[in-house]
Amino acid sequence: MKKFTQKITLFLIANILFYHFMIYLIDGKGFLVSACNLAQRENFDFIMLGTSHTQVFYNHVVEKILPKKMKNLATGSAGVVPEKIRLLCFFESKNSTKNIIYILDPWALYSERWNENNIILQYENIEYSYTKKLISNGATKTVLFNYFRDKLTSNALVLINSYIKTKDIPTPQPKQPVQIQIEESKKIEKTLEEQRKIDEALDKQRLEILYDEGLNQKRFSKYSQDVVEIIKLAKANHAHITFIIPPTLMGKMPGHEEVIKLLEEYKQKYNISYLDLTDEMQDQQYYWDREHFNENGVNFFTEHFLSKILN
Amino acid sequence: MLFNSFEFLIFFPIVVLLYFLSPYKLRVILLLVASCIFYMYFKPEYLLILFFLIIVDYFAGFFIAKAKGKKRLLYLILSLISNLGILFYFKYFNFFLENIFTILSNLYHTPPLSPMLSIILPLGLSFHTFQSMSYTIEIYKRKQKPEKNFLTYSLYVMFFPQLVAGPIERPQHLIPQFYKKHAFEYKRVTDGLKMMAWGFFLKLVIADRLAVYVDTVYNNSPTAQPGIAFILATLLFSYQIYCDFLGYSTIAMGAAKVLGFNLVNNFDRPYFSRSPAEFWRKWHISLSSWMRDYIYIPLGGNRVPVYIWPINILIVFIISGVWHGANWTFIIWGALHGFYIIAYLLIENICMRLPLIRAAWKTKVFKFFQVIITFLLVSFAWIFFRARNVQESWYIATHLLKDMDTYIPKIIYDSSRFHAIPLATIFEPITITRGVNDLIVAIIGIIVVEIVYYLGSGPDRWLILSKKPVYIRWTAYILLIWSIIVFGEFAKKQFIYFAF
Repeated sequence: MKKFTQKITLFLIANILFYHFMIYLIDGKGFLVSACNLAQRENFDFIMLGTSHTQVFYNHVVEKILPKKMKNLATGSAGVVPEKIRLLCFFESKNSTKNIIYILDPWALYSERWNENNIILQYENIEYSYTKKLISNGATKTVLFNYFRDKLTSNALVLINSYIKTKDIPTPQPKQPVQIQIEESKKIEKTLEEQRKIDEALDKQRLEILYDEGLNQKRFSKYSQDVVEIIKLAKANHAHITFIIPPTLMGKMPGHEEVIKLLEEYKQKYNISYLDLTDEMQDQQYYWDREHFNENGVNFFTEHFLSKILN
Repeated sequence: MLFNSFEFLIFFPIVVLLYFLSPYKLRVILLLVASCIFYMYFKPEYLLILFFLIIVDYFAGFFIAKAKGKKRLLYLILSLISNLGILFYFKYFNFFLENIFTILSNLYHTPPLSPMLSIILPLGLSFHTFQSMSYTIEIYKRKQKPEKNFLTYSLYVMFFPQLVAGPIERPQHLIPQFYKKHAFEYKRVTDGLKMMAWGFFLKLVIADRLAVYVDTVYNNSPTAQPGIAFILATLLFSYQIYCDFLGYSTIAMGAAKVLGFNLVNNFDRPYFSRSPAEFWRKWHISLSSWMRDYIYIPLGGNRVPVYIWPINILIVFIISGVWHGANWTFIIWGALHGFYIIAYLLIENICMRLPLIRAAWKTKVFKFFQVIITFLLVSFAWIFFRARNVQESWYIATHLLKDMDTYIPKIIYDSSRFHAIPLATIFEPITITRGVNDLIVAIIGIIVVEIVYYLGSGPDRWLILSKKPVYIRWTAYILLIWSIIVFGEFAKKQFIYFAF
């Protein structure tokens, strides 16, 4: 038994060393970034939280319109749990801000997929303090396992690589999918009605992905508490938080009323602000698909809404 | 509890630790409790079925041993009826009803009724009923004495490493091992753990990875798919089911080995077989030998008139098909294998009379072709095993060359365009849900498996590494572990044979 214990310990150590060696090789190539290292001891006029809908507000684009220093902490497909961890990292790195703009998509509150099981963990480098944060924020064993494993998978490397390449460049210009679609539809004499049907079908498909667990009330109650923790975190760091329900061309998202009701409740209780912009900007010129802003959209939104909120 | 679950990762080390720390007298009880916990993870109430089988066969063993004359046979029949009754009710009752109603509706031209019972098949029921039956049959044949200790007998039926998917053990082999005092032996324990790691590699890296591609084809309507999709998915399924079941058996053998037990070997390089009959001597050996000893030989074996023998073969293989599942697809699959064996022996007999072919029969080239032909025949039969119903299996089997006139020119065109083998084009029909890279990982895994099994010998053939220097061994072990972690599919896919 003694020999076995010694050998198994040695074997474990060898595996840990092997793992760290592999991570060192990957990390050395700059594949990984940590939310906790995005900024340190810096002061920002405002920061942004949210999903890919917020991610398109690139620092240099927004800072050009608003003469304010900003940091965008939003990440693609990030629900409230990963955004809470990123905010926690932001403050723990001795950064400060007076304003937090959280562009909150209703779907972020209804599925584990965008929260504990979020893919953004693939981009995080291995840090035991981060692991601790994940555990204390209820990450499942699957998430933890994937957090450690995904660094070594070829899929993750491809994802991370493309993420790194695109994370600091201006808003990707649409490859004019909609225009092309319309032009093509003209070419083959598709009517607008047909185009509308295509859009509806696409929206339906997209909603099935976004709400993969439906309007799961158990999840909603759970993630509502994470919203409270984000609010408390903001308050503890002397920052005012404003939630915005963003506009899309997909109409009101499922769960919209419930989220508004929740924000109203938090407004009374925690003195936060919120804005429902669902019905604004209903024009294709602002979007590169049915929901993500293009540069026009970012400019318009920043000039007409962000500037007012922050002034 | 699944072997490939987080729960098992916690469960197994605890059981091993408690097992070696506890006194010998308590070990049977400990393993019994562990086995109950293991089984209860699936559906606790089904433990009652196991208890019923255990009680029936435990007492039947005594009655058979003590009785004389025809009473012995009577007690055996009663025991078998109890076992088969349970199996019939849970596994075949709905299938039986469905067919009866279909016949009646055809006879009386009425719409088919479907008053099906809502029954969930207990996991591994066919395995433990067959193991249980082998106990009473062996006592009847006077090859085994009834086990006096009820707990030991219970453990024979419930021993968790092989409880839900075998290998199907015989009492003479397993029961005496429960009386041995297994000390903690370094070599045995580490060999067992290595076997388990190898089993996980087979299951998680190869079988579950291949399942994604196979399911893409077989879980969708075949009419919309090209023939090449059927061919590729079927060939991949041959290895999916092999690595899945071999993986399970290897994990089971490894887990038992860690605890000090030896389970029978279930596979012996089946895809290197040169004939369908040889395939069945190497595939699911514990079931094949069960069928041979308890059905084929009692029917007369090969000591029957030449016109009876094919019937016996067909009976055995149809029963083997039925054992796998309550669906006509399994029956066709079994019958097809029976037909293969009969046809192969007929062809072999004819060939042996021709001097030229008889001379060529033993050459390496001929042997190679025999292996390939056997593999293709076995793979073709898997179509019926994997398809969802008879209609789909028939469609797939008869449309293997559909749309080849567009597929082959495309490959030729892409080969000349890229000056390389266009893997993405070749596998395009089955890589809709997952890219070709993941498939290549699985194919590399298959190559590794076949090389390992080709080089080694005996059931622990892959333990060939044990004789290599430490740095080679440890590098191989670390790579094995990390290939499981990195390339393993951890979606908790159930082992295919759990359903039988």
